[in-house]
Amino acid sequence: MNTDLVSKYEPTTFWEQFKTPDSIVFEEIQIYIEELCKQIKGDTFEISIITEEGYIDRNFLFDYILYYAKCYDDIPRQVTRFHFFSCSKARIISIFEKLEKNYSQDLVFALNKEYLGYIIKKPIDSGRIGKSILRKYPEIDANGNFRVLSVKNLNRINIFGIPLKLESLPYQEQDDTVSKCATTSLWISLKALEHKFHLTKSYAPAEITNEIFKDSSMKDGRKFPNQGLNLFQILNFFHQVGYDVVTFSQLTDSKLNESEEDFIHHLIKGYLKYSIPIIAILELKKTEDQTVADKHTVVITGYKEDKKTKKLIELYAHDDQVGPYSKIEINDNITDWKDNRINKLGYFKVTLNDLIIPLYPNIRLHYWKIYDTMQDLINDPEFIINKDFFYYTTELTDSNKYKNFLIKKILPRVKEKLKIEIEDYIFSPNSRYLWLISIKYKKNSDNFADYIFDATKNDVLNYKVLTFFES
Amino acid sequence: MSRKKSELTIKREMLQAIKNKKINNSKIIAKAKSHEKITGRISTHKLLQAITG
Repeated sequence: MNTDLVSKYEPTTFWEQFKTPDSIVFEEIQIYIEELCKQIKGDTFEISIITEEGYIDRNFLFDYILYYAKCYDDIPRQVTRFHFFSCSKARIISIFEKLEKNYSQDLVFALNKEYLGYIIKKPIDSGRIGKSILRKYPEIDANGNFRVLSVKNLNRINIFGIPLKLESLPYQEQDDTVSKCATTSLWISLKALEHKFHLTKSYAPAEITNEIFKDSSMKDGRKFPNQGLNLFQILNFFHQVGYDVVTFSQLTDSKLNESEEDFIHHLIKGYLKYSIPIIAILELKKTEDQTVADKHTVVITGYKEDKKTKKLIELYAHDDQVGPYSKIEINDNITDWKDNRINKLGYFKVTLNDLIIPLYPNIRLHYWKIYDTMQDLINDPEFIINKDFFYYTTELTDSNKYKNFLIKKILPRVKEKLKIEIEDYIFSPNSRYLWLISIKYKKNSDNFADYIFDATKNDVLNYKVLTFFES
Repeated sequence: MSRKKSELTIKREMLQAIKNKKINNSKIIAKAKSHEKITGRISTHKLLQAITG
């Protein structure tokens, strides 16, 4: 192989090329990659980079066609792609040399195991981080808490003829020209939705902005350079490309009560478990006196829950001004975001105001009906006497995913009578989309029972209960 | 009563509770109003505010 393309990761010199006056994204991605590597490999980790010059990225190419090509300055249309590996330069070279001599899937697998993902450098003055795909944090953190980072795309990445795979959600920084935060959030969301539902073509950021401004009633503000979108344009775009949208709004107009807080916690987890991206509209304030808050959007891509209490303790968001899987600490109030990185941009208060959830149109059962049904179960006199021993979760899913879970996790541990009941369910026709209320035994998190609802209609009239306990 | 037995009792009680429970769709629909604050429609004024972040 051409060994000049492989280099040892030298943070100080490497990140210099991404520096722009207002951006902190490169700093945060540096922290992310180093922390990720530490979590995978321990304190003594090594990182190597393969540099791919002259790469054509579809996303930047369409941004180029719709905007940059018409600028007077000579802006290249090719980008540079940097692939990160969690091992030494010598090991990368060794694997490539072995592949050249005797190509095998084991060697490809070995390379894939060390692969941390890539970032693209765009040849522009602002927002230089282009489409980037970085490996997700491990599922279990150092304290044994559980992370759910299920909003993803299955990315097939080719490095000089070697096909690698990485399940993660693409990210990019806003360039402040063809896309601001709203367009970038739409782009990130579509990357997850196209993997899940296959409804749309792959849009570049400039194509999204362009699509929105095709509708004459949506021409609010300037297209290019883009001045941001409004909520109406965001919602309308999803409808235009075939999705339906659920909104949860005005979360901060008055303080949420305990039950509303609980509702939001459950709904975020319920949709994220099925890999649905959630767009969060935030209000940012630089001072207490600021009367009109700045508005910002991010995409919530995952959460972390406490291993004992099962309470949501952290959210993860793709934030086009901060970075991928940016951590948000959740304390008593879910609308009050403790996001130190946004604070780095000069804001002291970050408040969650609205949630936008794009959905496949046939998913119709509204979440509040599932939540209220769960509350009805929890507070039933016969259920309440054992409330300390069980906990409840809600989850959107589909028939295939759920049946796969039953086959893999439930059937092997149940005896004949229950097995027949569960097999009856597995081999019967079902609605494609389902909402589940799961009852789990607290001591070992074992599934005790599932209430299964048809998500393609908006009522809880017909449901099925599967129990997984034999007395 | 041993710990194992009490766990068995708890689970048996829960199983019976599940068997006895009937979910009432009308009762659930009646609760709609309590969620209006967060599930209600977004005002036009708010829809048109620019998100410039």
